[in-house]
Amino acid sequence: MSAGFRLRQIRTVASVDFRRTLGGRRMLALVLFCSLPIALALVRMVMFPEAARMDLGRTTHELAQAFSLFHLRFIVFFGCAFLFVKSFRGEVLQHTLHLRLLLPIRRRDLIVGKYFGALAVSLAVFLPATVVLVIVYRLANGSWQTLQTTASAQGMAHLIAYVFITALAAVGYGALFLLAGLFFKNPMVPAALYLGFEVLAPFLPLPLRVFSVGRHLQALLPVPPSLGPLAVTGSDMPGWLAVILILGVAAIAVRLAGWRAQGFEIDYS
Amino acid sequence: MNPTEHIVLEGVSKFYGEVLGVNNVDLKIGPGLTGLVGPNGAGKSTLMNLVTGLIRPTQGTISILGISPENPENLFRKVGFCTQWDSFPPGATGQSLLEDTLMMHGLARRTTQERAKAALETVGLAAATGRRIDAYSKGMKQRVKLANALCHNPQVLILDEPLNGLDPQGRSEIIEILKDLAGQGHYVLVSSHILHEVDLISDTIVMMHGGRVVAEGTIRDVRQEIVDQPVQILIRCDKPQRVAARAFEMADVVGAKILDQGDGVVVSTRDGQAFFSKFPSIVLEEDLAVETVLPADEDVRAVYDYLIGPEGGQR
Repeated sequence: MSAGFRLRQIRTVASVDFRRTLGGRRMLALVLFCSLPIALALVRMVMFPEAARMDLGRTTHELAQAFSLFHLRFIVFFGCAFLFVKSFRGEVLQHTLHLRLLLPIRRRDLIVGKYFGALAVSLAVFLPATVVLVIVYRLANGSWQTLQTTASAQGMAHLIAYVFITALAAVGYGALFLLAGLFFKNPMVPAALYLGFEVLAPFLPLPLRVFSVGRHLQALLPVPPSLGPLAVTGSDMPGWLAVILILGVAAIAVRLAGWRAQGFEIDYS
Repeated sequence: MNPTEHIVLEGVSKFYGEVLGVNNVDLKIGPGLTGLVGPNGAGKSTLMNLVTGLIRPTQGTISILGISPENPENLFRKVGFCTQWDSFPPGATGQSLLEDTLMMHGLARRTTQERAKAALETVGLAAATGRRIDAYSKGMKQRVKLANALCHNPQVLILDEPLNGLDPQGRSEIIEILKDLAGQGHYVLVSSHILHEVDLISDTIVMMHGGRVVAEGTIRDVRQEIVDQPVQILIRCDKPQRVAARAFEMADVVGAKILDQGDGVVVSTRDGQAFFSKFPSIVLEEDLAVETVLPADEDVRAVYDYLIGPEGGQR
């Protein structure tokens, strides 16, 4: 079986999953869930005094807080838990996984296809949500200033950084939750366990800290946020290293998921 | 035996913890239609799931035309499996389900559309290709599963209770499709617990009970191996009482029962060959007008009753 053919199969699995998930009933719930930080930003725009809203420095800082603690840590994190655990486990719960396992494709390729399918959905949902979140925060400065700030070099750099971090979060968290989906039925269980791991990561030995995606993401933030109770203490590692580590963690997780799938047996009981 | 020409199971067992799935199964299945029969819980579905790699044997090896179930990328180019499960991706139509399957076989989009349509037409779903499967009846779901299993024209077709939920006409149509495929040299393994259906479908059977294969081969061969049960021979003729009287003169005959309608007799004998050798002389001597002479218990029902028991229980 040629590499080209295998790649085509992976692409087919990804596109089928993408189509089925986007057309699924729970997609609206996910979109609404992603809109929560945006809704809060709108509330802030309406409720906060104009002087506070017009302070560009304060707005930038609050945006960093909202992005890091709410959008990334809550929305993207649990959104990925839902999408990626569901990608495999959802088919077990729907009793449709056998239809996939009866196709002429290596199981590890099937897993890679499912990963990219769920990743495509998560990017289609989370990236626009990130852009809207940044713009809504900046709208607090008035529409003309919003345009100026967003179009400025620093504004664009921040926007691109937030989008890039969101994409990397989906890459990293997604792979881990895909792997978790081969072991757990309920996405909330691995999500809670992993969240606990990330909070404890700074106190863990270095080899374990490597697997904290949230910790690596913090190293990429353009504006460091104040630390809250659920925040992951950032590391001072260079950004390029953080990117490589996240991609590495994702690759390891997808590979492990492939191995696990190799021995997976259908049991719908 | 060439393993690339058979479905071969050697010493295959499957245990779920301490629960037995199948136990030490040795099988060799060739081309044509093979019926897998046994009561509910006999291990038929477990065996089929093992053959297709959906579950793994606790011990033993399986090979389908020389391919291990561990290699789905090769296996499912040659194998189609119509499972017992009636679940489908939410929102899928018959056409989209089959197109997605065919895409994985590397066919171009246009070809997948044509092949999917053709497969759905074959199973009698031409009018429902674009309808959501959720809205299909039980019988239509059986048909779409069959179409999904055969759309890539597999050499081996494995079907788990494919006639469930079908009306009589549907059953007859599907049986014809299976017979056609078998006639073309395909390997068709069909499970059923409805015995008269298996009689209609196949001459070769694998009979399971309690996770074990209790008999394997053509129905006639299996029947002949059951030596502790007298052979039943049905003779329809004008003088059944005379046949019964003459039969009792033979040493191996243990019984003869006149049919209620009085137009025939069922003779029970421990040596069928001896009876068939002697019978022509009885016909001549008694001047019988014979309509039919048939083995009365060379069918799946009888073999099943002898080996497993009328209620599916152990003898």
